[in-house]
Order: sequence, then C-alpha cells, then structure tokens
Amino acid sequence: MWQLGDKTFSSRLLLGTALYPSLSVMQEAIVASETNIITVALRRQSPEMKSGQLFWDAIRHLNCAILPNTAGCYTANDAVMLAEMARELFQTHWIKLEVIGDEYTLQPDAFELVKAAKILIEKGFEVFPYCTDDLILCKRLLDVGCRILMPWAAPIGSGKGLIHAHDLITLRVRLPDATLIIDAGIGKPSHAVQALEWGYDGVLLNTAVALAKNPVEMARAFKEGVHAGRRAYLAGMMEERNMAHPSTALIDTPFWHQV
Amino acid sequence: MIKITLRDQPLMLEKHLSLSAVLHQHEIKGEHFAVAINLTFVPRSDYDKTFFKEGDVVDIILPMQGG
Repeated sequence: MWQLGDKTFSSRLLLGTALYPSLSVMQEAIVASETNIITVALRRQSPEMKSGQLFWDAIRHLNCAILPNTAGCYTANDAVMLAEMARELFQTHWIKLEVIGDEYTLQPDAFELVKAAKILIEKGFEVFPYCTDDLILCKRLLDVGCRILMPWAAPIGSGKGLIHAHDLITLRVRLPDATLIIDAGIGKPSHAVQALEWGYDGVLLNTAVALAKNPVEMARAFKEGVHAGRRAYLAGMMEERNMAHPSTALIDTPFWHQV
Repeated sequence: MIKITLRDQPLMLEKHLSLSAVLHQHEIKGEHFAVAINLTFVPRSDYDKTFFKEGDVVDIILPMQGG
C-alpha cells in the first residue's frame, strides 16, 4: 500500500482511458492492470455528440479513483477553469494539471504551470502537475504547495521511454520527500520497471497500453512490470562493477591447479 | 427575445429564462456535465440565478476519455 495525496492505494500504475479500440476493451484493460486510478478528460459537447454518458457509465463501476486532466489548456486561466469544472463534475479535488507550451512536442509551459498550480492549491485542489524533468521547475512546484510531481519521461504518446535518465535520477535524489510519478513517454513495461527501480513512486501511462496489439495483455504486463520494479527498489540492487567477478568459487574445483 | 448560442447552435429565448430553465428545456440533465458561459465556469449552485444577455455563448462540458 502507498499514500498518494490523502488516499491509500495498492497499485502504483495509473492508467489513461483514451485511444482504446472500444470502451469494452478499455474496461477490460483497466481491470487487468489492477490500477486504482484512471485519468479522464473534459470536452465541449458538440451538436452531433449526444453525451458523455456512455463513457461515464463505462468507468463508474470500475471502482477506481478518478484523476481528471486539463488536457488542451495553454494558459493558467484556462487550466484553472477546467479544473473547477472537473471538481464539480467528478466530485474530486484531484487534478492532473496540464498546461502545454508547445503544440508540436506538447512540452509543458513551466511558467503557466507554476502559476496555475499556485492558484489551484489555494482553491483546495490536490495538484498533480505534468512537468518536465527540470529540477528547478520541480522545486518551484513544491514551493507553491504541490506534494506530487509528474515529470515526463518523453513526449506524450511517443513511447520513447526514459530519455533523460540522468535528470530523472537527479530529481529522485534531490527531492526525496516528493511523490514522483513518471507521466508520459512510457512505451513498454521495461520503461516502467526502470522508473520504479530508480525509486519513482509510480507511473502514469495510456498510449502504451491502448495502442498495443492486445491492450488487455499489455495492461497485465505493465502491472507485473511495476510490481517488479518496486520490489527490486525495495530489495536494494547490487552495485554495478567494471570487472568480472566469478560467482562460483574456484578453490577445490576439479581443475583448479591448471589455472 | 434575445439570441444566444448553445452547443454551437443559435437559440432565441425569452430574456427572463434562467440557465436552469434552459437546461431543462433542452433536456440537459443529470449530474455529469458542467456549464461554461462565455468561457467562464458556472457552478451548479448558480444555475437558478444565472440569466442571459444577448450574444452569450453557452458550452456544455462532458466527461471524455483522457490520458
């Protein structure tokens, strides 16, 4: 079990709900992943769009905590407004804060992100900021009251994995008391294992499962990867060495005198 | 009568109608939507006391899949 904000969970895998081939596959994948937390979004209703009821019905009985996002926002003001809507609609003070600064890379706008985080924390939100791996940005987010940080591993949906290993490890070392969750860029379970081995508290992903040939099996693979990474971290991994060290003692082996 | 826009569609309505009444007329009901007027969030507790002016743009916000 682990503490995330004011709640306790068993799974360290947070899963998105977008891009699945169907709502039923999404439901199956969520169940198979054994996640406790799923992310959702908000959209304007267009004339041809009847309602979001089908989606809501598909997720409401999954017994998962809801983490709404502010995807699509480019300013702090827009993100704050969307967060307030999400709080009313989903009855949660949790918000995955996304304030995008570049539409090509979907890189967060650090300045607007900090500004929005400060306002939302003053309004009583538990803010999960989607941020870069920049140490100073992360410190500023903690300064304004964030308890959880969600640095990207790589651009959203790229599946490239933990491309800035040094920076991500530095974050973990320099911010030992913050809850750190890798968000975005995870492509395969080994990426999740790596993040958890480094001491990250969890991983949030969507595309890697939703766009797998078999999303349900991939959800299971990520579940096991996250378990493995966390267990390895807790077990304490051996130090890497530059030279070979025999694992079998050579004394008294049949041909020891020939060496 | 005034003209507003609801879900990208023009709508003529009597000026004294509240947001609550307009939502009811258009069968927008239940717990799982939010409302923005001119890109400003309107809390549910204000639906009865929110009235329109000419040119208002009303958006209905719904839950959707997201990552």
